[in-house]
Amino acid sequence: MAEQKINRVSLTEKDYEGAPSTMCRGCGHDAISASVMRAFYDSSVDPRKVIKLSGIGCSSKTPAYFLSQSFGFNAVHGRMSAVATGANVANHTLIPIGVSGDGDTAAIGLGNFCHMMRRNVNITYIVENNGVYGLTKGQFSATADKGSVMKGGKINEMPALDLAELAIVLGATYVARSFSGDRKQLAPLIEGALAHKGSAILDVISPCVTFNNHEGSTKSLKYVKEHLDPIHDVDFIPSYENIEADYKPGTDHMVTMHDGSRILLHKLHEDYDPTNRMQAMQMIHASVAEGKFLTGLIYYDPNRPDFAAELGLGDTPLAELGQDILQPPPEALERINADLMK
Amino acid sequence: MTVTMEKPKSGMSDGVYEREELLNGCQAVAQGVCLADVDVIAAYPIRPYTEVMDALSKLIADGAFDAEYIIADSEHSQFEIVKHASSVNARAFGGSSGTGWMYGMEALTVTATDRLPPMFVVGNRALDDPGAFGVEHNDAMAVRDLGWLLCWVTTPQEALEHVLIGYRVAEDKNVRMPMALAIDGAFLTHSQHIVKIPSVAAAKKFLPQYDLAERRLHPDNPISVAPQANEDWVMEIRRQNWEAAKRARGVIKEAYKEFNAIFGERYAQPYFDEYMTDDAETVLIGVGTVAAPGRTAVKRLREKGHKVGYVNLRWFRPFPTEELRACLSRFKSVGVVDRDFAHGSPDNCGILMHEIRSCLYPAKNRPAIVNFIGGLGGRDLSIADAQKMFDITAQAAKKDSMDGYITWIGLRE
Ligand SMILES: Cc1ncc(C[n+]2csc(CCOP(=O)(O)OP(=O)(O)O)c2C)c(N)n1
Ligand code: SF4
Ligand SMILES: [Mg+2]
Repeated sequence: MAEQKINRVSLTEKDYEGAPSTMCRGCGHDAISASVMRAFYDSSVDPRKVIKLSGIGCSSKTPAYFLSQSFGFNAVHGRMSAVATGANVANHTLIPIGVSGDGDTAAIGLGNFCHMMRRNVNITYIVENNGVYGLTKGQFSATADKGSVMKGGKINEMPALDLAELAIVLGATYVARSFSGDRKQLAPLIEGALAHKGSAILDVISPCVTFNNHEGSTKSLKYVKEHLDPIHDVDFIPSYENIEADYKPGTDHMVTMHDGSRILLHKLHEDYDPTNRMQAMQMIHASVAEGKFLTGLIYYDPNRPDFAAELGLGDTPLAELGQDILQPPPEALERINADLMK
Repeated sequence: MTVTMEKPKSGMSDGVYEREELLNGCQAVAQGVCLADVDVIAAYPIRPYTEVMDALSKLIADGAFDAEYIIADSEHSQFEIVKHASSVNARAFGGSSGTGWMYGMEALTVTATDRLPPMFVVGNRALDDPGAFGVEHNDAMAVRDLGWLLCWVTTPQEALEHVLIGYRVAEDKNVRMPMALAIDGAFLTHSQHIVKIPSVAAAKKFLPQYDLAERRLHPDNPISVAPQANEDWVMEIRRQNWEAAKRARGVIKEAYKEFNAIFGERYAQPYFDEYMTDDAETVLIGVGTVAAPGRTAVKRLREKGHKVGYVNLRWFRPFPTEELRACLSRFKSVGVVDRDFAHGSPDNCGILMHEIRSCLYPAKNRPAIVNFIGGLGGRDLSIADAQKMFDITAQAAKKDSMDGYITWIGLRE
């Protein structure tokens, strides 16, 4: 029997799989699950140290289809960000991956989503963005583009909410956009997000082949492919790889992550620096005006501490602190009382 | 009193009904909303209610109906939009199911305390968790103490008609309370019947224009809605709600009388209907579509000579205390079917049981009374289940102990 390929923690690709998918055949969400498994395998993350989070929607069902050995929390509709914040405070040593939809995140869950990013909670947060509520049969969501045509013929008159722009404004520190069908770009972007400490938001266009894949839809497979506008090709170089990256001074951009891993961006757009917030926003605006989907690592902030660091949670997670540490001794109470009597 | 609730008796030739269509419960509600000439609809999808909003958007897109239609970003916003539309004198409509209904609870509460009369359809669905799409009544029941009108129907025809009846009652100046029209998930939301659709003229004749009059929020009518009142006035305001709910009983009665006058003798009684109860000794009472297996079981048991009947409670709020007390006092034993739960409540019974038992307490002739909890999360309540419930209920009349007082029907043990 041929020897099975293993990664640095001696696990096979199979160890990163989940239950068989129940998505419609050809759904973009399945392709994203494949990239998630690829990224975790390539990053050699131990699945037993991972917590999978989601809300409600077709997209939010997908964590069942990867990493079956990980912890899982399927929150109610729109509450994934709040649950992730709580989970992070309870145990910030778990590696969180959240999968949500454009309905779950940009409509009912928008408030919680904003505050999670404001706190820079550590998470790899994937929005599987199809412009519709897939699970409830194809109503327009808040990310449906203005002018996009619904399956029944109705034209969307509301402007879309741009999740990447919103994430930058609200304090997320790793903001990327990609396309479900572009595993070459998406998998390294997920790897980068896993290596990053803070809110890493990946807005991934993921066509709903059942309800939003027709002529006139701006989130159909065909339309998205024709309007993709990658800023750069992306390579992820894990911290343990000592290789000299294929770095071309002047045209490439290197991003070094907290854990020493690196993202190498081979620039297609001139002079693009993802740490420049204003430039990132301008790029998004320009691409929206041209009706294009800007993809790649749009924004990166290496300096802002994440929520756990801000709270000074230390190395041992709260969930693992014993009663002896959590409960102050009687002397502490006496000291406080004495202070009050002064 | 025996009635069949299936089809309107009057024909289409008299102009009261216009046409027949094969509709499920959701589509029938949408037709009702169209006939009620609703001005503002807000929507947010969740099964099984979703089909109501889909049917409405189709009617609008097809040019069959003209209304402002707003897709909200959540149930909470949806209900707030509906509430505010209602306060500026627009006839307004919303709806949801299960966890979605609960998500908007803050808005549902203030709609009642602000005494506004929009209508919401509740496609009954089990509450999360665990996830389930099927029917359970705890969602709609959650508003039962807040000052809402709450009514269950059993067929698409009744669903359509109760959109009209519901607005009529809710908007009456002596009532002005929000209306929740509950339809069982799947068994009614998605089961199709031939429905007779009233003509626009007949609907208009029955349902007057919405007029909030002195409480209309408008620049010409400067008033404050929802002020901070504290202990100075809260008691008095609660008392007004209390009185409105009391008055609603009379308004409901009146509404059915007029409905019958226009549409033919559709409803023999306003608050509940009885099936083969004239000489019955044992009856079951429930809300919603459990009436179907309940009535069929009655028919079959009657063939074998059992004196059984079925009472279908339509109006839960306001609760028809006097009428139901008089009705149920006639029987030897009553089985109350709850498609809901009230964990830890007295005797651990279901919600309906508590209400009926409380209603019967002052009665001179109290029947023996037992409780059934079943059909949760959408589990089927079959004709055989109903026959079993009749059997247990009949036995209760012969017992003087409380044994077997509560039975979970169809539970896997
Ligand atoms: C409080 C609440 N409201 C509504 C729903 C119904 N619901 C289930 S999934 C969904 C939308 C999902 O859309 P999205 O997040 O875009 O996921 P997709 O199915 O498109 O992947 C809605 C509205 C719910 N489950 N809970
Ligand atoms: S309905 Fe759309 S989003 Fe849901 S599984 Fe099918 S294709 Fe995917
Ligand atoms: Mg979606």
